[in-house]
Amino acid sequence: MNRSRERTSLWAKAWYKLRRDRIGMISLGVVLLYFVVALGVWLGLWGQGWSQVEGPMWAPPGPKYWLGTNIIGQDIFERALYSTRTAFDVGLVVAVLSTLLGGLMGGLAGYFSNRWADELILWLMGVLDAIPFYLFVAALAYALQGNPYAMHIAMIATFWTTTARLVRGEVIKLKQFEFVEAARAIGLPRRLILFRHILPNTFHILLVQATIVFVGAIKSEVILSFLGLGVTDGVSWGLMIAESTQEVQAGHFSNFVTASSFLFVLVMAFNLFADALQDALDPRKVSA
Amino acid sequence: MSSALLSIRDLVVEFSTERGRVRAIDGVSFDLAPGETLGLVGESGCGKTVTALAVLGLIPSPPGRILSGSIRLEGRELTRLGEREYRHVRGKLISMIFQEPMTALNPVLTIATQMTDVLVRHQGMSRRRARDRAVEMLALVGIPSPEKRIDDYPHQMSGGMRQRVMIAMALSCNPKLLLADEPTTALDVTTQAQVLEEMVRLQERFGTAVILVTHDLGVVAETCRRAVVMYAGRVVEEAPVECLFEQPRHPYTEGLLASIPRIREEKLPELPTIPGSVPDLLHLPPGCRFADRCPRADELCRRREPKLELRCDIAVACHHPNRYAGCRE
Amino acid sequence: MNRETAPLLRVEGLSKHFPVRGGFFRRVTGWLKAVDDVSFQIAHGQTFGLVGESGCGKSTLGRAILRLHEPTAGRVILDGTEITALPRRALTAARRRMQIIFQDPYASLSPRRTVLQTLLEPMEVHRIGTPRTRREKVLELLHIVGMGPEVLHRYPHEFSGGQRQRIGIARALTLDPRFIVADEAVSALDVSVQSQVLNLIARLQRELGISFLFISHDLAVVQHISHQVGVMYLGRLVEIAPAEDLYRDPLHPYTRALLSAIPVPDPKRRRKRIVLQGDVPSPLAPPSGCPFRTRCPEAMPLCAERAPRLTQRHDGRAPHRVACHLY
Repeated sequence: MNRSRERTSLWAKAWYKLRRDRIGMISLGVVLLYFVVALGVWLGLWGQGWSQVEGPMWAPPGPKYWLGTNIIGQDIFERALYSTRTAFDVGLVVAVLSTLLGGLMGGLAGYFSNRWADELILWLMGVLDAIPFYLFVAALAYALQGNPYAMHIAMIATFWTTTARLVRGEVIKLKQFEFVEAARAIGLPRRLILFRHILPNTFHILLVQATIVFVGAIKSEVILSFLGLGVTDGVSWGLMIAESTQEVQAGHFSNFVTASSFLFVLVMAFNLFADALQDALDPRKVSA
Repeated sequence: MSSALLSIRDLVVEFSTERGRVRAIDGVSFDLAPGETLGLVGESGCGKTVTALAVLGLIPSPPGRILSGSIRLEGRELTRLGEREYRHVRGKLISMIFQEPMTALNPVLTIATQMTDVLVRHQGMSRRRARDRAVEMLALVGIPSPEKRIDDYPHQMSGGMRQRVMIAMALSCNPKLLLADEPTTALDVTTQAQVLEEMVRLQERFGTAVILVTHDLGVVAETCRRAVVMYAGRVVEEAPVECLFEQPRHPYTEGLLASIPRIREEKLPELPTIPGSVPDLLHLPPGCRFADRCPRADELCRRREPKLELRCDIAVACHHPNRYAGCRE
Repeated sequence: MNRETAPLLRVEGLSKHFPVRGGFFRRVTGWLKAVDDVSFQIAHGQTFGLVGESGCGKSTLGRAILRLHEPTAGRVILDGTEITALPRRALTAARRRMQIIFQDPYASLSPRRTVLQTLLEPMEVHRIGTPRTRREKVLELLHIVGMGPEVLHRYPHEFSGGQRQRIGIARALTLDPRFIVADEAVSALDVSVQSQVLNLIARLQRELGISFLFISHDLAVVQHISHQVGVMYLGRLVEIAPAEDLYRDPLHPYTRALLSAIPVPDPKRRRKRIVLQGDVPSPLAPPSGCPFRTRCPEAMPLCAERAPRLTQRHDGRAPHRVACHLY
């Protein structure tokens, strides 16, 4: 037993627990691998030839085209790699922004619970949650006239509410804690009490929620792209699956299988990682 | 020994935590005669609740498990029972009262439902008969107009009432042994007095043996005949209550007794305390577990752990115990 | 009156009523009188022990004095400043002089902040000292509560309950307050640690001359450190007396019942105790007249008609006040 480990923050304890979770660590590895792929595309290391039409139509997998080509002779592997970047683009932007928004709104609503600010935020969340998601995206895409970020905005605008509800509940609970009263007794301004003493204790929710939103955003992106409401300039797994519908009828499955597998493995890994993260961060388990 | 209702020998319960394996209780032994009231006393983390849970077969596993030792109830070994058999024992022979009466009762069921369920299942009574019995028990624990209150939900009752209901439920199956884990800690003093009085009266009437788990030596003095004092997972002293309070033999018992807040005639300049704090069960000292806080500790205490030795009804685990004048050797 | 004899804290007719909401539009359907017309004083460097059972309003009273709950009526005057009349900004400054120690050592420290951060914060907020003097002050405070510099960078979950309570006390001391509310400060601790913390509080009071309002449900705990003791029942003070008087000669039937209900660690003295009947009535629907009459062994017809006022008992001795028709 090394005593140095006792002198650790709750974060360090959570990381220690996560490290011992084998499935959690494997899934984290898979997610990181995808991230490296996406990073490589950003940096221009690979996946740049996704739009070139150079090969024959429906070339079989081989040394030149690893996973074959599609109906117009584009390299499927290159396209799948580039789609990873698209997925991370959407996932990161939506996860970070919607979590920040949800955390802030939930924090405010919880801290001012039962006052007008809370009522307003609750009302807003109720309205947003009542609109069917795909209808909302379609309307927004139409309203923004082909803005490439219409999809992002729609997702952020709808995904933050779940986070906000969770954070609101947690903040209402934390507000009763004596350390918050102690901060008031010291004369700490409300802004500092909220941002320094209350919200840091909701980080575990935000972190888990961010991973869940990330997965949700990637899945939605694929579906929206499949429906033609999502990615317009670029390629995504959803677009690949959309174009593969004709191919599948002709008996060429490579495009479909590739896109689906890339998506499936990432979503699966991310979900498992989110579970492990939740276990590791659970304050009831950590503080014991 | 054979006359004992419950006999615990060298019980060791281990929990695996993220920091390593911990023996929550380490070699606990004591006996309980039929109809006797025994106080199991100690501060938080001393293993008193774990001992009670072990007797009930309710050690959460994992992370906990009974490593060795035996628990015999009327000569029958409990540690080797299967879950199904144990459930039978818990219903018929052993009952338990918990600390928090609010969470021990199911909030969405009426008192009637909760009480009759137990009777129907374990005593094989008909619903009607069980209800009559439940009303009778509620009257016994001093609940006014029990035939009306039995249809209440737990939240309609006060804390003291709920704890009475718990006692009525626990005793309704006529158990041989009642385990009460801090039954009055969550209650106010005036209510605590009522509930304790009720419990003692019923215990005498039914001849149930009681193990009262508590941190409050005052409660022990008023309700128990014998007390087992635990410290850091071990029994340090076991004695009849009169002897224990007149002349505690173990320095820990002595310190504990001295530091109880009590009304004093003269105000002391300083309250007596036990210096330091309970050792971490993961870093136990090699010798006596109390040595670091003990005014009498010497080389021997730091080197070798004292064994629990019995002398005329008093058992003590100490190299330098107080003499007990009343002891006729 | 000079400063020595004037009380440090004067509480006059303090009330805290919480609105009870119900119905479809969450209208106010009633008032819960958690604290009702309470008056007392605390002298410089003295401790006032406030005793009562759960729900009697003692914690609310402590928080209303500090304006952690806004009082509904009444005045609180600390060292000549009327706390209840201060605008928000001035109140923040006044918080330097009054602090609070909490019951639950597991909930009273911010879990993601180190001891150093927790203890520096009050001085940073009030812009006291330089970073260096602040750090020195923190070390000095830790020394006062019996801890060393090795704890500075540790987190609350690494400490035992007693140690956390010491850190909570150190935090209350960072601003050199004149007055501290200790709300059940030792109730959650084991007896052996409890007396350590009680001794610490008694020492702080002697050495630093701080006045305490020591709130507890346990008369035995309060005795050791209190100069005056007040007993509360259903939001009202029913008896106030110097500590020696109250324990030697309790007047109010409730105080007597409380005293006799304390379990005595002596099996040979199983006394005849006054066992009160029934439970504390709901504060939402308190009985008419004297709030204690429903459980009082000495209740008379008069008790249901008129609530007794807190009056001085005249026998030429210490100021012993009681709210009961018997006297």
